[in-house]
Amino acid sequence: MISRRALFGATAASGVAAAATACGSDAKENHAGVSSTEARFISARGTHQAGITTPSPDHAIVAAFRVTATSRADLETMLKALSAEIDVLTAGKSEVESNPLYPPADNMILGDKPFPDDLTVTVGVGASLFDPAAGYGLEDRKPKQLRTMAGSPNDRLDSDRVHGDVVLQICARGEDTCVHALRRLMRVTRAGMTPAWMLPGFQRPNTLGPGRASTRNLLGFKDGTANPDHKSAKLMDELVWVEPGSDEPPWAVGGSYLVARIIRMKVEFWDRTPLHTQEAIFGRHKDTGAPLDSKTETDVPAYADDPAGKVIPLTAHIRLANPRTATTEKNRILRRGFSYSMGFNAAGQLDQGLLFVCYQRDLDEGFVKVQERLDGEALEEYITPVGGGFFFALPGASERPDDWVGRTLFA
Amino acid sequence: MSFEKALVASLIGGSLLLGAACGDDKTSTETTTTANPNIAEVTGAADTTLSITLTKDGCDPMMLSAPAGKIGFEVKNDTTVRNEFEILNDTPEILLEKFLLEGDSATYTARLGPGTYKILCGPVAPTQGTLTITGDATTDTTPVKYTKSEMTTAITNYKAFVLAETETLKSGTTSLTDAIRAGDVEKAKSLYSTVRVPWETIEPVAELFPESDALIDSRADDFDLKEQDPKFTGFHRLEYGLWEKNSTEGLTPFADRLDSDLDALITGVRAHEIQPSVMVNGPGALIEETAQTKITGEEERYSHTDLVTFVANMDGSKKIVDLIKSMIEKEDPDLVKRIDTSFSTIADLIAPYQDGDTYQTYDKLTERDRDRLKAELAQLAEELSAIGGTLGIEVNQ
Repeated sequence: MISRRALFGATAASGVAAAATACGSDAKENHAGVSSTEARFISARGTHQAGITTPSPDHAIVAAFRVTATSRADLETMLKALSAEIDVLTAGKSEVESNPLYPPADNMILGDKPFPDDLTVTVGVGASLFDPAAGYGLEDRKPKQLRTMAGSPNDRLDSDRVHGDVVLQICARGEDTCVHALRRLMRVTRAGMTPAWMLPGFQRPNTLGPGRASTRNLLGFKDGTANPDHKSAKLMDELVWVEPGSDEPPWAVGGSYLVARIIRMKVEFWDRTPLHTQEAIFGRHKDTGAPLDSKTETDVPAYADDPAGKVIPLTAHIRLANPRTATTEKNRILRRGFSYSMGFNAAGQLDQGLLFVCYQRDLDEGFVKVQERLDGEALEEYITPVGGGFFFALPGASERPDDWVGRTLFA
Repeated sequence: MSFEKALVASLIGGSLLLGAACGDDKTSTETTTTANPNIAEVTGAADTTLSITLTKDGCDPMMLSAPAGKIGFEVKNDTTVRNEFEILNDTPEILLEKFLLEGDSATYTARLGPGTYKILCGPVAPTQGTLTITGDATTDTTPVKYTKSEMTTAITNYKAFVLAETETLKSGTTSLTDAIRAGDVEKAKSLYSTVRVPWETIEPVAELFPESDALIDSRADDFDLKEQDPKFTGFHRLEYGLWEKNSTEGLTPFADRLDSDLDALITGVRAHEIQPSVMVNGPGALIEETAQTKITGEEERYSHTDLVTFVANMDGSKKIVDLIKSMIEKEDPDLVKRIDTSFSTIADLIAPYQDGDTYQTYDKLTERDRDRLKAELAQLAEELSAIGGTLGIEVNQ
């Protein structure tokens, strides 16, 4: 019985310790999602695009497109239009009055007066955009590690839900705000890009942290406990942003590798799995989120004391994802995932899972290395990655009015 | 409340309760436990009964002793607060955890093997008692709810069944691959689904050899290039050639490969020591897989012999259940009834599709029956998922 072991440890002052855990891990957590901050308009401008280190709000849409622009100039025009529309949407600017003889300029999903809703739109580009065959003359501009996502052994990639030339990560408190933005953005880029795949996601925003998560995934476990602190600029420079002087092309400075994965979870099977097995698979207590060798979520698992994996199995998710060694610190990634729930499949089972999104400055040392460690993890029996792709989130557009997201790519 | 504050509060309160220390958080005591920690608890009459009182100083008496087996604990809370009674082994893990209101008494029964246990009467350190369980040291000390010999017998019988099935599988497969090598398409097609029956029946063991399993039973969509992928081998590669191409052309290397991959698997199975977890996990895992990917007709997508496979999976799951049924019955006879009903309902649903010694093709299955099968499989999976808990066994992989 692994899960209770740690509570009692070597000492017998168990009652006190247990009480501390129970009370310490907050009543607040039971009301997760009630954020104390007011919704606002988040500027899209800055060294980095918004929506990466911005705290995750309640909803997201990740949508990928194939670019249909037939020249470099058309591609530039399309990205400029995209960037301009993002500025309009994220600033909550009102639409110009429409002539009723024309179709309305705005879809009116949010009514006639846009309200602040923490909307961000983050633009990424896929390796295929840099392909010589694409004809945009960008082959020498390709971020060094950008490539088409290769499947991992447990992946069953669905050709209708992978890759893309451009990806948009749209986040907001309201799902309607995301839908509003997606439709507006698609409307101004009609001839320039065509839909590849799209998935909406949801999650309760984390009201705790750093080092703690109120957010839970659809397997019922806390998600994001060990996520690097997005508020630490130093840590973000170290792990997330392409920095000047790196071996990436200079235009890419301020950008970040974006990995999106659609990971289906076999939730019926999971719900029929004993709690002990579930906890051994993750390596954490389901209720508190504490590592199995500990009692508090913020505790760092002591893998060195458990080399055989008797308490936290060697195949446990947290142990493989982040072994907590000096050499694996550089493999940390900034996760920004959402849950999805998309109806039933042909077998009459729920199509639910994780719309995994992560950012890192070094794709090979980040997601790729972490995924390699996770290959063969015990959780694989319950999950099937079916889609997603590798992208590069473009650097931000500066405050200069004539700047736009993607300008440096063509400069 | 912070750790420090909780600590202070509990010290100020002396033997203050965990729950009370948390103020407004009424459920906090429960939230520290991961589900039901009473893994040693059993039902039925106790072999020995011990009396114990929770006092403000701890357990009275502090030292207890009993022979191994089902032990009844008559517990009385003589303190002035809601208080806790726990039994822990020296790991330490909690085998029994109960809360009693002030003045209350209750009797709990736990199955304990030989060894020394701690008894906790109240949440503070000096209140521990010691429980010594005497008996044969070879007795299984895990708090499982079956005797080791029952499980050993079940495993022995299952192993014999599996070995006999592998013999049938080997000889059947050889006749299939011989027909392919001889270029006899019709004979190969007529043998295909029957030959696979023992394979699908012993799947709980076959899947313990994932590499062999992948070589023998992968589907085209497991590979990047689907049917054209050179890594696509095994039964379904042959099925693809025989039905989609209606030919044995080019299949000989795959037939040879299947023979040798099967030999490797059988060697592995023969040497494999089947664990109790397979007996407990296997029936449910097989139904989960059937519910996820076989009810859709995607398994035998070229030959449409899915119902033959489906029945083999049911038989494979039921075989194990039948072998461990007597153990489950002692703890939860109603669960056995529900499982049996579920299996027989599914058998009744499939029966009309029987066609001589085989089954009609998957497209003959009506939408109504497919829906009913989906529902019954889901229900059966729910029932089977209770076996591990009922037998008190860890089923971690």
